[in-house]
Amino acid sequence: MTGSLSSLPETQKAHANSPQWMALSEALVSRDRTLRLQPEIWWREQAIELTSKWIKQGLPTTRLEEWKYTSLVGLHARKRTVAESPVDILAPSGVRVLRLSELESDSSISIYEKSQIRSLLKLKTNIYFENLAKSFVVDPFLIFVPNNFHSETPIEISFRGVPMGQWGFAIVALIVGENANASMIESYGSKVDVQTSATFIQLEKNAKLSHLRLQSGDGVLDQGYVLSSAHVRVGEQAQLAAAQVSFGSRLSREDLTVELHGVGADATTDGVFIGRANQLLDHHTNLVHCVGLTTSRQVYKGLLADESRGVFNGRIAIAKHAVGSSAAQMNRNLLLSKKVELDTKPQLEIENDDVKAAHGASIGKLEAEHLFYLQSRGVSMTGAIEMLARGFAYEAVGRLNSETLRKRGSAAIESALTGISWETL
Amino acid sequence: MANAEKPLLLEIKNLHVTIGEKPVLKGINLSVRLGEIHAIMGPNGSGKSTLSKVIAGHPDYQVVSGSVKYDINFNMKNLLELEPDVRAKEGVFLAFQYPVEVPGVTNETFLRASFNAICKHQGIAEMSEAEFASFLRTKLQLVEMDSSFLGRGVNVGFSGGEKKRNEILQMAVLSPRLALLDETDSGLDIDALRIVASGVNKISTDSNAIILVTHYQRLLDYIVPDYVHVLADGKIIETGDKSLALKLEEKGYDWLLK
Repeated sequence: MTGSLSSLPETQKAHANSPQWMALSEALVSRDRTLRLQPEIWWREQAIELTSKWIKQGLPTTRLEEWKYTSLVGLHARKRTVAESPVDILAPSGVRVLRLSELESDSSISIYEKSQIRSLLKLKTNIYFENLAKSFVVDPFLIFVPNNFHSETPIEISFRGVPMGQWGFAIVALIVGENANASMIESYGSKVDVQTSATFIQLEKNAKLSHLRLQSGDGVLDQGYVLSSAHVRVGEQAQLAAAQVSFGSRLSREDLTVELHGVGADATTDGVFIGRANQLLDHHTNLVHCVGLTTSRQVYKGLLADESRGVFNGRIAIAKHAVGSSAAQMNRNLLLSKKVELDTKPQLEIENDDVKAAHGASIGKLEAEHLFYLQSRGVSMTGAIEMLARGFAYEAVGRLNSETLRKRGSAAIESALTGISWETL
Repeated sequence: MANAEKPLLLEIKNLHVTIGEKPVLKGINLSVRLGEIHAIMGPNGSGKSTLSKVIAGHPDYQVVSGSVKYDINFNMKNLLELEPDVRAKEGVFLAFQYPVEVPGVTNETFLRASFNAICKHQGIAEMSEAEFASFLRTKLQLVEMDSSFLGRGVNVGFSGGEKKRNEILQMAVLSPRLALLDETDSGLDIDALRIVASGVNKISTDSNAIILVTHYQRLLDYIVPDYVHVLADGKIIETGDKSLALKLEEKGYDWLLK
């Protein structure tokens, strides 16, 4: 275990003595000892490798392209100790839930499943906090959905809050077996000081997953930081229908990576963020079409009130060999006050000609013609604004193919919009 | 011809309207009584659509002079000082030429919000979700729409004909006292035209009035007007009965414009 603060790159030096960075680096150094208890040796080795990388890197700053619009300066001021965040998992019968430390000895998990979950947790990425979670979390939660499984009941994962003065980390990894059809709701961001959760998912051949992520916080006075990620690998003919709903915390950063790595893989990755007060909600999504005949579509919505800020960075990469693939992306934003700020950046990287790709972004206020239409039906101006804003946001959960998830998603949106100030622009 | 003894519903006097700096209506006079159907015809750009939008309260138009009075509780009130939603609550309904898509709000939710807002204003008990659902289904038959329309976003992904039928459905649900149909017949095939017209005919009673803005005589084969007005260059230049429409069909507008 090596690394010292003096080896920080120039850009990080400003933070080198910050209380938070000191606490974090001390924790990184001492992490090695606890990890020795982990029977999955590779996990410990990976953590050590990432940890030494981390110590060199420091926390990301706005000098980095990926963090250009989101400053973590506020995070540095106060010291928080590192903790493993408790995770509650409710799963329908047939779905197996265990910890990484139990994997080796669990005979109900096939050799194949074991190899897949290991490779899923070994995925190398550049996502800052995904890697930091791997450094700190000793014993990730593992979920296995068997082949041909089918249930309307969602798997519910809630990343519980951590007390003030703690930075909570958690990892959950999920394998959805061949021909299985499952749904899952993740909720997080509530009652936290700082929370980092990383979710890894693999869909086997023909598997289907409806996936709702609710970053719901506790309300307007929420001062927490949420630095969270999800990473999904979609196999041959498998389908992911995902939606993100974010409205909690003082600052949140979401990194979603979806790899379409089997022929015919398909992904819908919609989302909505609803900002108010002085919140900053940052969403980075990265859709990678690794092979041919893969399809993806994405509609991301931003709704900003008061003095909030939003960031959407949507990357779509279509690899050279991914012929016959198609991708469609749209980012629409609705600004409800003159003091909000929104940064949107679509990023298309296409390496072959035989693909269809479309993207677009819009930033606007509600259209006068729409408002008049509703008013002409007896709805008051305020009522019309609310109705249009609701409709705008609800679209983000409309393509989840589970009634339960759509309802939960709309209820979350409903609560996020309650009491929002509709400044007439 | 309709009975002149019928109570007056709408009275427009010397109405001048501009959009931006440009004059669009240049002295409109029009009286509409309960039970009447008026057709407003005229060449493109004559101000036909403007007239219906001004009555409904579209914010893009400025009324420069003149008055629009409308019967509210047996008093002719100045309609122009009411917000568009209040006009709707008092029974004014505009069927849009280009109905607006409202993604994420289902037709049923929208209709119920609208219906209840109007009930509340008029002091009528609002309907529960279940009551409204069954009421709505009887209205659907009027425009030959199936209930799958109700769960879809308002006008989202609807064909041109479906959007127009949806306007008539809204009209049937809200049962206005003054219905303004702005080129509801444009872009309709013959079947859709028949459905729309029969919906309008079923809604038309002695206690409401209808103003049809149309380009074509075709609609008037199905909905028989009491009056036909020709609007050209912002003024009503001719008024007659339904035979005027036939004459226009045959001769065009030129003979009137000379």
